[in-house]
Amino acid sequence: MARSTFEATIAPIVFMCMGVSLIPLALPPDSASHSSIAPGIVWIMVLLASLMSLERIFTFDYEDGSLEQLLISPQLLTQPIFGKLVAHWVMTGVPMALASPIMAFVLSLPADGYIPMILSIVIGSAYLSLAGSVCASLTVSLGRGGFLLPITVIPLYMPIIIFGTATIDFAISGMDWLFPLAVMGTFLCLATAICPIVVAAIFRSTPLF
Amino acid sequence: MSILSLTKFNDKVLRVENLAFERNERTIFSGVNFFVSEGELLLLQGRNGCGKSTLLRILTSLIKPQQGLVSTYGENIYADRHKYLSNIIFIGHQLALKLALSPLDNLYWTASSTRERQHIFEAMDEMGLSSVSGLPCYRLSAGQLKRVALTRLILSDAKLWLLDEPFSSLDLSGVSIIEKLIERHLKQNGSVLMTGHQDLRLSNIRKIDMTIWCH
Repeated sequence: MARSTFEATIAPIVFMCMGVSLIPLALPPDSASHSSIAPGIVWIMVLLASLMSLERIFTFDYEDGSLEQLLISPQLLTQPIFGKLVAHWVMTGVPMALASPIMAFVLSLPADGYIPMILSIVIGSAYLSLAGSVCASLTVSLGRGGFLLPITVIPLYMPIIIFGTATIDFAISGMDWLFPLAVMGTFLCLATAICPIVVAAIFRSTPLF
Repeated sequence: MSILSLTKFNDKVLRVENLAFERNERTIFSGVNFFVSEGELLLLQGRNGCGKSTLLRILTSLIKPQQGLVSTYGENIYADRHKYLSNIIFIGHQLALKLALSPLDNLYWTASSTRERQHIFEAMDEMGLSSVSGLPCYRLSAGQLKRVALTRLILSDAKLWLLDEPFSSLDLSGVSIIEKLIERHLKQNGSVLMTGHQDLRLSNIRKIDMTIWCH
């Protein structure tokens, strides 16, 4: 059991690194063409890896009855939900940000792009956990492996892939990369304020059992 | 007449009136009427699939019934849901235990926050779990896990216990421990509503057969 928890935590990062290491094999062997598409590739992999782990936020709690107990405990629902989302980000987003220099190295990203990339993944992945939790809470009773979750969550992910890629692109081409990063921060602030409340409302109002 | 009968009507911990529930356009049960008084155990019996667990979930306010009223001391449970929820404890088939954590840690986060760790140790000792309190839950047997979940009854202040087949997968000594707990709770004027198929060695039991409401 402890092993399966560990595997489930490490799986998105392994998936991300493996996916990225395949990209150079499929492209012409000059590092210039790699570095121009590197920001996009990095962010697509972060997005897919985040999507992989999204189901786990509430499904285990739904299956083992913890969610049921949470819903009938006489306390505010938003606090434990926010706690779960922070935990999810610490277990998926932060390791992804820490592992991202490996991907950047494989894709021969210019050195200027490293710091903006790490910062954009730290901020962006927190938004992905928060926005994704809304869709995860809507689809929790449908069981695992459904396709409804990816379909509903991708539109919410779109702004982050645009500004995340822009942050790294701006940094490589010598422009002020703090601007797109600030836009991502705005999205994160909005999501932090709204998403836990929305998730709590969804759990309160949908017939889960 | 009115005041006397009103107080008599309002002194029930739980009163269910004309409850009906349907799922996927199939009526599971209808016309359900019963009450639970203070210091009383109500045993719900009935064949498998007749909606006992669903009924218990309705009483926890997890499911909203299509028709009927559930009230506590004469007040709809949805009127002050927070107050009602702080007065009940529900233990169902899903035990809400995290298998990677130890029984102690599991009880620590589900028990109310005011509890001391020492108190949890004492409760686990009473349930015969002191030897496994530090082991991860995936090492425990089904019966031991059930005991861990039922330890919450000792740690809770709730007046109304809603138990869905509390004796499933328990051994004989486990059953007698739970019977003792229930007896003590009833003596303290608490109430228990449980489903089950076994006969209990307790006084002050009322039995209801759910089959009369089933479809």
